[in-house]
Amino acid sequence: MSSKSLTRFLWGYIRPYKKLFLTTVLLLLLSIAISTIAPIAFQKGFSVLVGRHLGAKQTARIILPLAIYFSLLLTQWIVQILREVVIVRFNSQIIKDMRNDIFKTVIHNKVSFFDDQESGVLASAVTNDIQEMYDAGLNFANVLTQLVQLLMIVLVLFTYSRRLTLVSMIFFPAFFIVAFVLRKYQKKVEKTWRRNFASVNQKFNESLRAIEISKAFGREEMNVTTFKKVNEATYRASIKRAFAIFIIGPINDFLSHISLLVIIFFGSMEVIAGTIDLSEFYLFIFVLDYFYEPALGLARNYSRFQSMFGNLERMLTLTSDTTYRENAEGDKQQDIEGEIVFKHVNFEYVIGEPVLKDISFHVKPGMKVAIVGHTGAGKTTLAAILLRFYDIASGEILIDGIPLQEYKIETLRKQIGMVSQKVFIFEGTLRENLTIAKANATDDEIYRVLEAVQAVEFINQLPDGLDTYLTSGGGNLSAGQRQMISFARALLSNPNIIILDEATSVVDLYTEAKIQEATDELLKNRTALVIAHRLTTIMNSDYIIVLEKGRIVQEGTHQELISQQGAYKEMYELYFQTQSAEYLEEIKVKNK
Amino acid sequence: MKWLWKIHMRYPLKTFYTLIVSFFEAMMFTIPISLTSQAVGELLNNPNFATISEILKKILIVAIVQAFVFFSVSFINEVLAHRVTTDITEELFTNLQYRSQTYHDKVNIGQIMGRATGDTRTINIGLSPAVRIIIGVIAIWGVTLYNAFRINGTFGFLLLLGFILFVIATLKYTLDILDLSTTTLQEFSKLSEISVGAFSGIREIKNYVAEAHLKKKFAKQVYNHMKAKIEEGEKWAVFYPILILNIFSVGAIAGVVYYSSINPQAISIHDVVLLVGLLLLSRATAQQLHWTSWMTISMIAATQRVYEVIHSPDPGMFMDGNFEFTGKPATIEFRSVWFQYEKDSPFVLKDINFRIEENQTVVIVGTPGSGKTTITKLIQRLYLPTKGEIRIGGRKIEEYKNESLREHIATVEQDIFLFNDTILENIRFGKPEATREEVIEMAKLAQAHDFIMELPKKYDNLVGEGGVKLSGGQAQRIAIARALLMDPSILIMDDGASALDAKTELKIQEAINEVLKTRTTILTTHRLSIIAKADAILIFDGGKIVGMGNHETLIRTNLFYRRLFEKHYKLPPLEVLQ
Ligand SMILES: Nc1ncnc2c1ncn2[C@@H]1O[C@H](COP(=O)(O)OP(=O)(O)O)[C@@H](O)[C@H]1O
Ligand SMILES: Nc1ncnc2c1ncn2[C@@H]1O[C@H](COP(=O)(O)OP(=O)(O)O)[C@@H](O)[C@H]1O
Ligand SMILES: [Mg+2]
Ligand SMILES: [Mg+2]
Repeated sequence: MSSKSLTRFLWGYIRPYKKLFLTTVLLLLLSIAISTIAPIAFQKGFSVLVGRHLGAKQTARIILPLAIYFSLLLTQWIVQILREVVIVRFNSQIIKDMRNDIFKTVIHNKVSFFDDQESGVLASAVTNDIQEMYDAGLNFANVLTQLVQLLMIVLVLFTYSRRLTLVSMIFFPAFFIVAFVLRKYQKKVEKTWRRNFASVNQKFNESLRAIEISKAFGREEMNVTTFKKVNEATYRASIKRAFAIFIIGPINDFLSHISLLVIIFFGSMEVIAGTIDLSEFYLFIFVLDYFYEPALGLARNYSRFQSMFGNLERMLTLTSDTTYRENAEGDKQQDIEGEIVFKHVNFEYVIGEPVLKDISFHVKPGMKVAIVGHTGAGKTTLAAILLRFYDIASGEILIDGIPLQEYKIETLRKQIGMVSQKVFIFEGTLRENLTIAKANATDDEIYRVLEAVQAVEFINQLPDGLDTYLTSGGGNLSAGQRQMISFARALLSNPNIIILDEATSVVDLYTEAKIQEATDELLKNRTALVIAHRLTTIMNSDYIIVLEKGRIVQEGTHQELISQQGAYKEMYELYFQTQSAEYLEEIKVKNK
Repeated sequence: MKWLWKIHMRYPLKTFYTLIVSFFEAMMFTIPISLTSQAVGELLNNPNFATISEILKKILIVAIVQAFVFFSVSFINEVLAHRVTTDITEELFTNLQYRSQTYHDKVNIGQIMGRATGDTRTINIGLSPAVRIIIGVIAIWGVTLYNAFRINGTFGFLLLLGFILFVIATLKYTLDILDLSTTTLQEFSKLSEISVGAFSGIREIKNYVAEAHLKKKFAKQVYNHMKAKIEEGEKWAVFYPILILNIFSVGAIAGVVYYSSINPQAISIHDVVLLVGLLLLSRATAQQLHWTSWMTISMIAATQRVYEVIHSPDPGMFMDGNFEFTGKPATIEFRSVWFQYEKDSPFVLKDINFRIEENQTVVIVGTPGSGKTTITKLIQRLYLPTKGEIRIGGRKIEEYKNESLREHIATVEQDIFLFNDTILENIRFGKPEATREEVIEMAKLAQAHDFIMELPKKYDNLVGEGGVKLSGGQAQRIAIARALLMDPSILIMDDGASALDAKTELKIQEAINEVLKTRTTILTTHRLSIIAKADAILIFDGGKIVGMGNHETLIRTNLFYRRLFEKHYKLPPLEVLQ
């Protein structure tokens, strides 16, 4: 990443707050100016004092410089406050914009992007990493000011005594050499530390999410032991990192003492020789602190600044790199009637590992199509590509005769509803969980769909009804109840095409049948893709597609398929062998 | 605070070293100042290089000693801070691990994570330089005051007044900012929560095109956080206590210079330079106090937050028993069991009575929310019954050692949790010492071996967060293998086959049939094929048992049971039992 594009990127954030930015810069300059003048005022006063001690009689002349010195420092205080207030505002606004942008970018990324990420790590990128930039930003402004300050002081000192100025700076290079040598080590330990720290986070997080299964399998002790291991490793890494940072302080101190020594040495020679006067000599000692503060700040914060720039770069890449962005070039926004055509569709999650192979079928609007096949055959995948969660490798998918990718992605998804196999419940109220499908849904609408999925009864029994707070993952509901909510959510979005991916797999047969009756009514004339294992559900559909290992091996109506030899018939027979009343009779006989 | 001190006291040597040496280290800072003033004094009175070089030698020695002391104390302090925060993190982790499931049901993971990571870091930063700097400030001010008093009583008194006012003002200021800091931390936690929620529910969000909604929600929280941050930052910037100190110290500098100029006999140049040097140093340390106090405050706020978690009550906590469960006899008995997840919430199980004999297979059926999963959780002793008793192997479940129960009871949960790790590690989760061969054997039993072998990295394939890279049925089979590997005497399968097709399911059944013969099995399922073969069936409705028996009787006599199947099968005529 070139520093030019990085600057441009940063400037993009600064521009909206140009005024704040300029004020910041102005205040910084002002405070630098004051800090430069104040010591001179003091020196003037001091020189009068020295003169007085040597017998001169000009006491009155001392008041002016001292008064100036005093008032300058008070002004400095005010400037400093203003400066900090402005910087805080400026910095916070920028951070706010960055946060929003990065969140926006990430949330619009492809689903496949999320498959390979841990949500905790991603969340930390938009929260912790950016927070770090805030802190680093503040420090950066400080160190920068101090550096300019240093420059100014050096210039002033030059006018007093060139030789002494040069001499007082003699240890600068030494310091920077030390800092430079340390930098590599710092970088290394910083990296290790970061990795360790992240793994502590990750372990902690996972252990909380997995607490129930940990308890069920009696893993608590083991968890504590493994956690201790990463925690201690982080401790050791922290110590190394601390060493790299803390070694600088004493070195800096040492060098500044040595500088003092050198200044006194050469200074006194000059004073004795009479080239500078005592007050000027004292000025050099007076401002010595200005010398080492910026250096120390720079060295201490170096790794921080580096990670700030690292973060910035990552942000820039993340927000400008479109590899993970959802393809959104489609712009067709029309209503969907519900015709679905797959033509020789191939799909793979991992290159070279095809999951769907040469899939072709045709679903007419309003049809109810069952997709059957054993687990891992690719049924859920088929649904996912219809929603454009993933893009296909080759072939074509048409809805109402228009290729999928020509639709605006929002339009498409709004009109296709899916009850997914892995139910997801957001932490929040039950109502929020439903209205995510339709923001302005009225209670009447909500109750209508809840009625259809047979959920009204249990919801009425909840203490807070629709406003019951659901914990993360919906842990305070039973699995069947969660499926009902998920189903209701899909119905509420009122889609023209609905996909039911094992939508009632953990619901009992009686409730399922009732849900089916009610939803058939609601979904009349809409295209439905139903993925299910229960034959009764399958037999009720208009058309059946049988998938096996990513290929369509049979398709047709129940009557057609049952009359052919093949996977469907086999399945049908198996089902009736094991699920029918006759089969039960058989067992009974056997048992006797 | 006391708690923090207690943790420190695990490392008394380091703690005291830091506390004591910090004091001297700060004092050493004042030595070069006094030496400098000597030099200036000498230069004024009798410019002579010999005395100067004497002084220079001393500075050199101080420089070397000071660098060494400085490093040792700052580094040891830092080590100590890391030690303490590492301990705090561990304590928090351990504490949470051993808390009851009841507690975990209600806990907000985002909030806890904020404390586990963000707050512990804040504590760390606060502990490391803050305490040392405060001690240093005391030392430096002490020396300054001492010298001020030595030179002029009134002057020293005025300065002391300034310092005291400064300390009082700082304390008040810090307390004011404490609330703001806490608010900012809270707003930040909420920010994390929203983003974790959004990223883990991404499919649902995309499905419902709710990106805009989430962006808005996030932006709102970002704004709230920013507002809190700005408020805190502004308050922080207006560090008014320093104004007091500024007036006093800068005033003192000007005053001393002025006083000495009108009365050269009273204060020598030497003393002027000494005082000016000390005052400048005091002023600089007061500046440091500014951010130090802020860090200390954040540290206190953060410590409180962590302490709160560790010491919050756990209503579901119970003592571990001390009987070993040997796995024999694996009988299960419920006697008038009532259960509610929380106090004041409705009873989920009402007066449950049943008994399961050793090696029986029992099926629990019922509508969603009728309490089936809850029963299985009670058998695992994730919760204790609110009323009544549960007996395993004839003994009350409370009396057993936790470990022994875990060893002999295994579950395939309804909500399968897979770790973002390899398939191998996921299967041997309950028995980490299991060999690869054992794992493969179980995977074969669970009909998982074939599909695993088709994955790019086979048993070493990662499954993704929550198992996203597996199909529902594949995840279920991993979970079955995981439970079978435990070789339990009580096996619980809570809807363990809901995502399996009939063929795969039949294969699994055939494979594990032999295995099941020698253990007690509890299944919840809706598959008639499994139900019908069970030794006994329990029918649940609304938290009550509404029927018990085997299939043949129930199908003829039990209305609830018949209802389950009426839509799917032709039922035999209803009989009324006398
Ligand atoms: N996100 C993913 N990344 C990689 N592989 C996946 C992913 N999701 C599913 N798979 C694999 O694709 C195949 C089909 O899965 P899926 O469509 O879920 O099957 P099912 O027919 O049971 O719904 C399985 O072998 C599964 O392991
Ligand atoms: N952790 C929990 N906290 C509070 N209520 C819960 C919790 N888990 C389940 N419930 C409630 O308990 C009832 C029984 O749930 P469960 O045993 O999971 O039913 P199921 O028979 O479907 O397995 C439901 O009404 C559910 O809402
Ligand atoms: Mg699936
Ligand atoms: Mg359940």
